[in-house]
Amino acid sequence: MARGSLIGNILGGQILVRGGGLIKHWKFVLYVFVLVLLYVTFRFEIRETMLTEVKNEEILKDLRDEYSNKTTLFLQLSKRGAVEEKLKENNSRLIPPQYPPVIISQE
Amino acid sequence: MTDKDKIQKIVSKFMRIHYVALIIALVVVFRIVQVQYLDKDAISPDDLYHSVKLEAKRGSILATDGRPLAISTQSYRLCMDCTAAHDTIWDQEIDGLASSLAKLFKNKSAKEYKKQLNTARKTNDRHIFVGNRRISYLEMKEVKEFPILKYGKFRGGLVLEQKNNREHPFGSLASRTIGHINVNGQGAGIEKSLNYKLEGTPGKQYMIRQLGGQYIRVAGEEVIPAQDGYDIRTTIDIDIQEAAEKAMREQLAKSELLEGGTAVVMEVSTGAVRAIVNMKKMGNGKFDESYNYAIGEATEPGSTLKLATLVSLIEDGYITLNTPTDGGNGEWFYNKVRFSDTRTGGYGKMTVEEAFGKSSNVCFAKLAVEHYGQSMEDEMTFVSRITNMKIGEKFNLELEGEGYSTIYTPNDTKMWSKVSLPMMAIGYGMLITPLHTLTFYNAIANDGKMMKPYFIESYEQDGVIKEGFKPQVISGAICSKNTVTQVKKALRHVVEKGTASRYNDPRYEFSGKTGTAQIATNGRYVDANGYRRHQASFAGFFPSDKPKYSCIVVLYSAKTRQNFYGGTWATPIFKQISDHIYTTHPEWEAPVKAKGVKPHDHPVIAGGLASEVNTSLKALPLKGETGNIPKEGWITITSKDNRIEAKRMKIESGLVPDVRGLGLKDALYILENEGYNVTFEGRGRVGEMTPQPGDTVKFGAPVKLTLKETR
Repeated sequence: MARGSLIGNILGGQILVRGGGLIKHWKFVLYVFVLVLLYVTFRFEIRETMLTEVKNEEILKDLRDEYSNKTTLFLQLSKRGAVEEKLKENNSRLIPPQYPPVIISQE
Repeated sequence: MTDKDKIQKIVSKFMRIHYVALIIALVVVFRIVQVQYLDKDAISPDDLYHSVKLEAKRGSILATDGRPLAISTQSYRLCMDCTAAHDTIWDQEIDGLASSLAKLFKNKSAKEYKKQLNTARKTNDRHIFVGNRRISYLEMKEVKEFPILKYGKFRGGLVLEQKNNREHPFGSLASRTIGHINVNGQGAGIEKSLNYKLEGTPGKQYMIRQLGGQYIRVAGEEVIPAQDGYDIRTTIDIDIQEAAEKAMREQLAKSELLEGGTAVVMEVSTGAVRAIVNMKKMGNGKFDESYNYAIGEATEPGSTLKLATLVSLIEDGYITLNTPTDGGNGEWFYNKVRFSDTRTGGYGKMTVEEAFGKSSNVCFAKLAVEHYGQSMEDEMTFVSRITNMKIGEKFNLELEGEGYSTIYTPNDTKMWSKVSLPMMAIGYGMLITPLHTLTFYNAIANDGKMMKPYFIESYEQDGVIKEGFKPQVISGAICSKNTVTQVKKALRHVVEKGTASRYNDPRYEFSGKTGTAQIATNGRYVDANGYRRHQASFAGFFPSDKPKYSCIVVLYSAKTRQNFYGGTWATPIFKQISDHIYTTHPEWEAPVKAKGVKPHDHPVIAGGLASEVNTSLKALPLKGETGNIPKEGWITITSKDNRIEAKRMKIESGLVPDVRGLGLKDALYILENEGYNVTFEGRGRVGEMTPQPGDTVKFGAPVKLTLKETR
């Protein structure tokens, strides 16, 4: 096959009809094509997974921050001094204990 | 047109499409080649790849029960590009935004915020700082929902600058001990001393940019993970610390002449420091934890160190507590130096125990001179006793700034004089820190065994102990058991009948010694105008029979002509701390045995959290049948004909939940979480409630509970 006609055949698409070698191995071509498709799909899947991983790391960091903030807030509120202040604000009649707690043991 | 022509036309159309596709493909290929090889500046590897520093999380500083004293969080600086929002959005939502900001920061009115933002918009200010402080992560989430700002960076002008923050959940509690550190590594306390444990090691990884601008990790590239810093568990007990700090602040507020104070609470058996308070008056007149008096301020301790003289004299067999001694008329001159007692006219004749209880300088100076003042060897014996008791021992604490103690000996010809011995006997002529004094008292409380004070229990990571520290013994016995028994009796006498007797408490026994010392300035105790600085102290332990905690309180005064006695100023703080520990710890009293009291066969069980109710049901000796009890959620319990039935509670927003039959704690939790303002009266469980269960009531409305005893 002359070079000019070969290019013409490729550009014109006739090679698909006339290229005996290629047609003979259409199953292999299809197999390679499927492999390429799978490769691309897997690449995308991996990319998506890695992006999700990055996002999850961000979420995890946010959750850690939220946890730290809430812990801090609750600890501030649970401080004995803070509780006593709140009780005072609400005119509570509660007074600090005068005697220690006693453990009751039952036989 | 023939069929052939038609086919030719179709083929021709296909060919045109084919050529267009081919040209596009060629352009793409050319562009790839151009970008990759020809136009090297178009995209550099740095645009696609970059290495990212993986920040290590700074470890927390924990109290002994694991509650955090210092924790790393993110904080945000709220800034705004006031030109970003569209006019329509701005006009419609600026009022809402101004009002939200005013509510959040509480530093300006909504009107003022509106004015500030409008001015910034008019002047084209694209980066203004909003508010008066940084905001927390939770507040940042709130801000993202504010009018205008909810549209984000480009449409709303929201700019958040993130920064790592060190949060102290308990505010200023133990802040001097926790300390701080800046970016240059300067600081104080645990943050500074143990920074190498807290900071961790940052890691590194390579990231590649994807379409859309996101980055993912580069497959195959080495990732060096960040190693988070250790959490440091201290020996600090938050509740004792809070009580000590409160007591100290209240006392310091009583006189403008007080410059500062310190209080340290130590566990007798281990030497673990359970609380350490250091307050110093700042320029603004307020007290702050800015100077570590407890471990850094070495001064003449005064009368609290008469205990060491007493131990020496008893240990050497010179005296017992019943040995008579003479306080005379309250004045005694030795080598032209005057030793005097507080009481005008003196205490006269008394026993050593009474002299110790009254803190007689005259008696103790005389006793020291009488038994150790005959020769330089005798003086050396006394000083050796003091040093052998490990008073002034260097502790090598985990914290920086440990003060050096100074105890002179007769060999120090420059510093030792003829009056050094009687001065030392009453707590002068040596420099030690409050922590040294406390360690000595702790040893007496611990039957002579001296423990090293320590602040750090362990280094941990994710709750797992990586390195733990055990209590260390400085001296197995600083004196004999017999001496310990006698001095403990003398220390109790101080509280029963001596200088601290005003604070003797019938509920529990504590022992200790008051101390009132004058602080020398430029080598003089009294200046030309008769002004003096005082150090009022009390050191002791409780309960007296089986000591569990030892404690020292020291207050420092400014120059004054007034007196600051340890019994009047320091003892009340000690007492408040010991009261707190007494009323909050169950180990003081033996458990009450419920022997002979038969529990009810069918106790009335309150509703509540299913998990807790199930625990009660398992523990109680129930006779009869039990229906199906849910395993989670809030439940109510009904008991009829020996059969217990449980029902899930309905909690719906806007409807008053039925909390009848619940204990007050659970009822309050449920109702207040639903936004009601709850008041209650009576005792027992919730019997009646107003409004009635199921009524529709607005958020914030009052709900009144009447409690009734069930049996």
